[in-house]
Amino acid sequence: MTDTGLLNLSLTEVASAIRRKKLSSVEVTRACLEHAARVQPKLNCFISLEADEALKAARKADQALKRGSKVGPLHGVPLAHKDMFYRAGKISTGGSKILREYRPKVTATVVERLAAAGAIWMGGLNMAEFAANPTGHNDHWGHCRNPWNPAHMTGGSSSGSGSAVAARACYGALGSDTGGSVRLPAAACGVVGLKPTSGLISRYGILPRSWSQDTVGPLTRTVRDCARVTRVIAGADPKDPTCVAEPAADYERALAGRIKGLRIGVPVNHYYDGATDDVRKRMDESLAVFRSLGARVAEIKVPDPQEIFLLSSTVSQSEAATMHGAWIRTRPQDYSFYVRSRMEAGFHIPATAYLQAINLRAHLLDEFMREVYGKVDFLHTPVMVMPPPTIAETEPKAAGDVAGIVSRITRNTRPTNYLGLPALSVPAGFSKSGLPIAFQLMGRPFSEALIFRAAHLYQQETDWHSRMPSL
Amino acid sequence: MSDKPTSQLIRDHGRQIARLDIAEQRAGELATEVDRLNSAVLEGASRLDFNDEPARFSALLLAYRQAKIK
Repeated sequence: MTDTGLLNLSLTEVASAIRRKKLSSVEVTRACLEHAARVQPKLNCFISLEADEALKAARKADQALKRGSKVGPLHGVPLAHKDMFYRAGKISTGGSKILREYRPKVTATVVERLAAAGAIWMGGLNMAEFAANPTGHNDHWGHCRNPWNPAHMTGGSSSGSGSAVAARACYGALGSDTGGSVRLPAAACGVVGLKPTSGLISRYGILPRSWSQDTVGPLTRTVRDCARVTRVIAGADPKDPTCVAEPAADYERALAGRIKGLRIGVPVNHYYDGATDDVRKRMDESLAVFRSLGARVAEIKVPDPQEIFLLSSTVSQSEAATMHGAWIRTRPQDYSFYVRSRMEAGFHIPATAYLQAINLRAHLLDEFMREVYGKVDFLHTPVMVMPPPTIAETEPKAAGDVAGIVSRITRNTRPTNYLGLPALSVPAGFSKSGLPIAFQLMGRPFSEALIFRAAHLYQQETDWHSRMPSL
Repeated sequence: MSDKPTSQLIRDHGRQIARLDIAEQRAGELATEVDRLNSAVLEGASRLDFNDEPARFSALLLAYRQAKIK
């Protein structure tokens, strides 16, 4: 198989080929490492590449297969992750200057689970500084670039995860999503990205952004790949008491069903405000696919997402100001103004307002469940109302520009984090200028299996996910 | 009682409470942002009940969980 053919395999396809000894983990890992090194000058998607360690792990994976050892569902598959998933004693920068040499003392539960499933760690991926911007700009490590057009933003904060997976530099990546940070780079780079229900996936050992709204999710090229990684990393974790106390479902098996008769809601308010013609057209086309699969599509008015957006911002700014307070006071020059300005208001929000915003979550979730998920099974919306803008267009010139840029990009993603609900970003085609466009499917708490099924059926009818950027 | 936060309030709060020195122009921008966020909370707060507590949110997520699919 040519390197291009090999790199273009999906995660589950390559896992199967390694397991059946059609490909070795060493040849797959070597191909990814070489391709990653080739695209890095153009995309800047990696912060670190651990070639020697990755090849050593791949050799061990191949030996284990030769011995006939029992192997996991990601055996020998090279993955790379947003540079904020801790491994004890290894540098984890968080995309920041402050943590440039930071070696955490603990290992993230999701990292342990991926390793136990046999995955190979290729390196740390670029990300927004402290996971705090939705565009992929990074003043310390350099901006990450979109494989479909390097002048355009990747989306963030899991910028390297979206860019590297789309570029075929790895078969999947972990990201984190506090206000859209998995779904935005997935959408902008044309890959699949999951923001799970709060409590489904452990957050132990990850760099925090907003304790109440942080989630961990995979970015992959297919829904099936995403389902597999989610199964591996989800489920109870005594080290993260916010995790639900039961094992992960078999999401891959659930892909086999149908969605006939299920109801898809299309919001008539908020989610299409300012949408470009390109985006509207792709949304209509994707809804037509769901109709052809037997789903019923209906318009629905949803509780004011702008109110939810502001409450979510109140929570994240207050929590970020709390965790960054000591460094903001002692070394403010080590933050970019983009990131500093994303938490400054948090220092001036009264504690009572923060706690009211926290207590309002249950009320707004209750309202949303009754008014939306009492009537439909999914919500279908654009992830962004425009194709990914250029890096220059989204570069703030002053601190006062930041709030406007952030709210323009995250207006459709942030409300879901406050409500704790699951959402999956799925490629839906391209703009006239060849940039990816995506929809998100949102559902009830812990409805990931149903969301994966619907999105998987959509991918069986379309080929957007198999398009490859020319690099 | 509809006075909005001013840049002077933000500067004083920064210096006296948060130990932060904030430039005049930035203080003005922050005053607008704090007002926007704080007003959203105060307007939503009419929904709150004396017995509310933060853990209710997680309990509600579980209560509303998707039934097992076939």
